[in-house]
Amino acid sequence: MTTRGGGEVVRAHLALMADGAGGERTPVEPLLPRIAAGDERAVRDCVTRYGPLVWSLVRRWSPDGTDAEDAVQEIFIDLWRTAARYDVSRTSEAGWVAMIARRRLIDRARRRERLPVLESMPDDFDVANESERDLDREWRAEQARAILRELPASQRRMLELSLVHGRTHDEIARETETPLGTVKSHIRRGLQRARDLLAARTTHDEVEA
Amino acid sequence: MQHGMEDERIGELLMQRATGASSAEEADALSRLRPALPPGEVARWERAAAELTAAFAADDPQPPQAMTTALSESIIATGERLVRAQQRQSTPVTAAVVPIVPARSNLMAWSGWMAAAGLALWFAVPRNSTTTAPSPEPARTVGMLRDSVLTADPASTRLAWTATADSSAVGASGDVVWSGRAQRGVMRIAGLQPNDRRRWQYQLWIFDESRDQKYPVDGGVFDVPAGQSEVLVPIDARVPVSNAVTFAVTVEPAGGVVVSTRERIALLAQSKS
Repeated sequence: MTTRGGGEVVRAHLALMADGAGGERTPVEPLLPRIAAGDERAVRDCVTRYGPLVWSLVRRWSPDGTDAEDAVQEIFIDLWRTAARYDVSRTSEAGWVAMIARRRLIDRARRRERLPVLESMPDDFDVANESERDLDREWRAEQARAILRELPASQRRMLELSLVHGRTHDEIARETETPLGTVKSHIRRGLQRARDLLAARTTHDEVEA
Repeated sequence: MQHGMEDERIGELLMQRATGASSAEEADALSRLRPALPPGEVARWERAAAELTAAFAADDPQPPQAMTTALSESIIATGERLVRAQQRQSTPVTAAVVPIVPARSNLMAWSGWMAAAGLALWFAVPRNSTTTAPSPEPARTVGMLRDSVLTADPASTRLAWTATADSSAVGASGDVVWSGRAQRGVMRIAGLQPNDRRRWQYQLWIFDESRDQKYPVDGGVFDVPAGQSEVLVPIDARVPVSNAVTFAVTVEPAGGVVVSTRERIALLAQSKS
């Protein structure tokens, strides 16, 4: 018995953005601030909204079903515990959820390989940064999708293998029959592009202002 | 040219970190470079990776089979329990945080302490690393520590203080939370009489079920400042405590003692088991 299946799974993630009457996307209320404020009902809503996103990552990163079940529970506990740190003005909520999930999955993968675990969240992670205040979460989520659409297919594929499937750069090189240096270069450029575009809105707004 | 290569190297280190692919050497190299990077740059790369990850997942044409209902219900139940616990135990941040420091060491045994108490204190030697009290942590930090002890460790204990008839503890209340897994905890105490730290101090004792109950673990000494109705005292056990069953706060001479006479017990918190 499953809670959702097929394409419905991925579409649930898009609950972040509901289509309005005119086809435009309208923001959906973020849930993590409600959880941080002690609203128990938001927990179920959060699992319904982000469970598919987290589970789709977990299943791809985990070696087996048991490991996946442990991982998804750990990730949601991390989410409940860090809910108060989520800042709606800085990332999309889905982006925050994905980040928490990825951090946990990376740590688990490293433990399996007996490698040092990922260093803790950057000290400056929550440091207020004037240049990012104007960015809203809806814009970020849409921008991320736009970035993916415009990436060359090979670059997109390598990013996807790294970010979604948790493949190492060596594995990606073997799987795509591409030199390791090229893999790293493609992933770096893709991320750099995302990082630049996600920051570009500010410059634009500052100019407009 | 040189700058271009440097930028490329920095970009690669940031990418490696954002994708979780840094080796120990690369992580070190990035740490060394961080002071020269714009503030928030590392986080910016990680956020970019996270936003792209979410976007990929949203557009995934072949999503994996969904979670089972049992699994999602279990996650929801755990989440609701944690949110409830956080709400119930949410710690006020108006309380003062007071540091706890090790008591002075001496060589007197429990049995001989009474007779030689004065002499022992005279020869008491502060431990090297504790001659200076640590800076108090911000109340919010300690409050968060207290909340996290309760929520992160399902086996953590929260025990209410019982005030004894000792004059220092009339009307005192509060609780102590303790995580055996983390070996950390926080005392919350309201209404304890302010002490004159030059003459006497409060000392915490942790009774470990696995040890001889005559010799509780010394949790260190702390003060209650005048005019402070409530204090938060972070506990950091210096000796492993496998199963804390009782916490006691005694009134002791300034600097504390190695073995208490238990003459003046101010507060007790005991587990029922």
